[in-house]
Amino acid sequence: MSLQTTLPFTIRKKSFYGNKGDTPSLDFSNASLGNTPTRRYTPTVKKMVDISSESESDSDAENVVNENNNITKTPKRRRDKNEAKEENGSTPPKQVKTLSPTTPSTLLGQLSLISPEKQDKLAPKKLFPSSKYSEARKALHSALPENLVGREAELCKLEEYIQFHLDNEMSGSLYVSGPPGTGKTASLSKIMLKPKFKKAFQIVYVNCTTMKSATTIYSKIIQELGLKTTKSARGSKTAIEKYLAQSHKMLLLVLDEMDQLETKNQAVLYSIFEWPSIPKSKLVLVGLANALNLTDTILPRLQARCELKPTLLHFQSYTKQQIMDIITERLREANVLDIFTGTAMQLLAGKVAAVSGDIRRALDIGRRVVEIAESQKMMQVLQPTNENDANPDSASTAESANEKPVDFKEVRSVLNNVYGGSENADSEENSFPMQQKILLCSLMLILNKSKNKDINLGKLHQVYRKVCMKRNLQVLDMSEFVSLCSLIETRGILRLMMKKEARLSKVSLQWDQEVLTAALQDKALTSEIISDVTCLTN
Amino acid sequence: NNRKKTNIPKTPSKNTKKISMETPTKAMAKMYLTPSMHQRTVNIVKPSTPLQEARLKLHVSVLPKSLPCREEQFNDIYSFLHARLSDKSGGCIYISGVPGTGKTATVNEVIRCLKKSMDAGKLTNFEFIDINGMKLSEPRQAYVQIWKQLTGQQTTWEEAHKLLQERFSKSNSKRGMTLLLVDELDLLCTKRQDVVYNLLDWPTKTGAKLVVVTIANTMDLPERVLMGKVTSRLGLSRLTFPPYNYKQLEEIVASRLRGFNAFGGETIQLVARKVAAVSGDARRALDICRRATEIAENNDREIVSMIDVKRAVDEMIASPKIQAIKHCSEMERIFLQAVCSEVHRTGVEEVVFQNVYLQLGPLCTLNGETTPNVTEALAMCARLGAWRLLLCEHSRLDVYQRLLLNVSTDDVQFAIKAVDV
Repeated sequence: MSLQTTLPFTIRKKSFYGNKGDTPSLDFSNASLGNTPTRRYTPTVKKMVDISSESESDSDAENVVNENNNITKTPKRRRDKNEAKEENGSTPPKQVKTLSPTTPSTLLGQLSLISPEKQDKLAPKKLFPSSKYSEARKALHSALPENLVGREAELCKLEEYIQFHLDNEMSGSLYVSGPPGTGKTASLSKIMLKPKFKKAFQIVYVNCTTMKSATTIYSKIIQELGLKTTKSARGSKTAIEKYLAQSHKMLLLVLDEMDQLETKNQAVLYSIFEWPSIPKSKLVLVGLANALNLTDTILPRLQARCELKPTLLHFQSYTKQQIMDIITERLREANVLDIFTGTAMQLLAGKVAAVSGDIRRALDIGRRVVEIAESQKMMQVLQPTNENDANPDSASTAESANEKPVDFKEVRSVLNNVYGGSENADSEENSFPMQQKILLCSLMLILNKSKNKDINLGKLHQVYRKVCMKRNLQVLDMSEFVSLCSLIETRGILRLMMKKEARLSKVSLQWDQEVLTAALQDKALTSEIISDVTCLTN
Repeated sequence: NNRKKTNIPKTPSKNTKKISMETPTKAMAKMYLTPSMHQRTVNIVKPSTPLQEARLKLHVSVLPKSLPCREEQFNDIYSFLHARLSDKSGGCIYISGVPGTGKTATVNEVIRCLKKSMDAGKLTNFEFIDINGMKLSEPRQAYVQIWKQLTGQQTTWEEAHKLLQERFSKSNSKRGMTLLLVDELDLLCTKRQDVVYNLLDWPTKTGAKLVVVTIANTMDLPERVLMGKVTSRLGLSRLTFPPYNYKQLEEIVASRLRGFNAFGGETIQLVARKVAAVSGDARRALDICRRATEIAENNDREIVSMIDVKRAVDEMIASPKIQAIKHCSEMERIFLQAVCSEVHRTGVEEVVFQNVYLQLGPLCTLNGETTPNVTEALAMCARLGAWRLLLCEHSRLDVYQRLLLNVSTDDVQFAIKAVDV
């Protein structure tokens, strides 16, 4: 910490506090507070800390201390500032002017919001030589992102909608739909974090999957509103309605995964959607779910009254360009943009956009690719220099030296693994037990050659038995045979419809026959069995 | 005062009073009792012969120091978990494979290694929790188990869920990573799938620092059973454990028996090939080997020979139905034959009792027996139904009940002919 005396503004600070005998750490916190964009100053401080402490753990410890300082010292700083003003009389140039109107509480909020977190993430990057991959991995996390790329239009619409209702002080309901992983929750939480809405609204966010049953939603809302709780669901419902009928602050109620509230007669959903129409209620209701037409199909009665009908907003699945933008933005934030080559990114985004447009998948695949590249490189590095294990420094420098970007080839192999489906995964490894192969071949034989496609386990066993006898193989008993079938079922090749008797359960093939023959990898056996019609006759 | 102190241990009545001072409910509430089991009064006999030692080594519960033939999967899981733990970011991985392919063993091994490196100070602290879907009476009890392992407190599931929700949605820089192993994931799926959703949604929260490892048998469980939003959260890091082939099974058994020559020649290979042909289940191979040692011991052999293994295999992969038919009474066998001939006549699998009875008459005369009356025949039918050689409808339908052969017709012919010879 003594290094901080070399900060550019410490000279000024010294003139302030030289006689007071303050610790340098206090000095530093003053400096960061002195001007409003705190972020600009902390990095310089950070760097100093980094240089002074070589290892990662050390820097972490420092970070913690820093944070604590920031948090604990804030009220004091205010006081110091005032004292300083009174004592010296001469106001420092700009900083105080921008500072003076803000209240301490807002300042606190500003402090804790961004700067320390970000520094935390940035710090190890410069120190740790091999962290480029891990930085990329971290950047491609699927948690709530800081800024939403590719959802600007929707965000704008959402904000407009809420702003409109806020300005007119009127209630409204909005239903946001979209496939999983298109950023519905992320956009809403972004909106909810906006200071202007935070101030104007009382915000209640409920994820409906956390509810025990549909009706417990009332008591949850009551809890969030801070009303007096009652035991019964009906009581709490009337309490909410009473509250809405009274004059109150604007209320923003966000119901995530709303389809979980479905009940038999949809009483809960109907009553929630009726709240905005209660006279004098100032409620903006936002419901999130996957289904495009949830409100039409399960709430048809809302159509009858126009004031109840929710406004609809659909989140399209991400396009290729949007996915690329998101990934590049994430990587740029972490400063590891060069980890992916252009073609690799194009391929990844194109494939994911074509299949689902789910950003969680895209990020997942991206992370997986980086992981695989990392492990491959580890192998490369470790194998030739086994003696180097003693001094890890040289090994790690070697690692950083050939840290090359992820290429087309790696992305393609991961994509093939993921989107080739389970068929693909199987064909790579030759791992079908013999009896399972024969079982599947007998099934195909029946499907191809027999007239009756309605296959039950008894019949399949009969054919299987014949096939086995012909080849002088051991025939499995019926009970064994059933468990064999369920083993194959776990691969997704078969589907068993269990009846009361195992013998009567229906068997159906889930895969295409060509794919299956490819997966079995035993052309000779397969073709022999499939063409053997004699096994079918009794 | 002094005298009192010395008195206390002597008088038995006071002593017992002190033990039973707290009512059971109070003791439960304090939770200071760790559950204990009765000690056995006799010492366990140490294994003396090589066969006994081998049998001890072959037990399924004995985990080997390193798992042979699973190095690749071990590395995959290790690198995934290590990366997540050192990054302090959350995530999930889905591991699938048929039973007995070493899924849980490998994951536990990985976690042991991670714990070791945590103790050595190379890795940041993490807490490890494991739940098993099979051990929960109800999916929501998962919350209770997780909370119990985190803090040691026992609450209701609503409360536990609320506390967990709070814990994982608020970020706390002091808290370390949490590693959650969910075994038998498919049993946690209910209609609403709220438990699975919550377990997989927590890792996506920024402050949660939770890594979830899920294990199940079915390869396509996410696509088949889980909802779209749950599958999306489960992600695409998946790993499949293929069934062992015969070489791997052989290596597994051999690695356990290293240092003993209890198994002769190519006996292990026979077991491995037999098991690999059916399921590739390592547990089964070990069980067969254990059974073979027992058979060898009963026959006073030093070394397990091919015959013992053959017998063990026959026992474990047995077909008891032919035996059952062989031990039926004469009339019951004729009845089964009648059913067969009726099936043959009609060409339909399901036959009606009265038609079978018509077939029974001529068959009895052919065999030189008097034909049983309907009541006797029905009683026979019910007996065969109880043995599950036949599948019968309810007996109140009398002669109109439909019968279905639960063994193949060939089996019946085979069993009956074998007796005749």
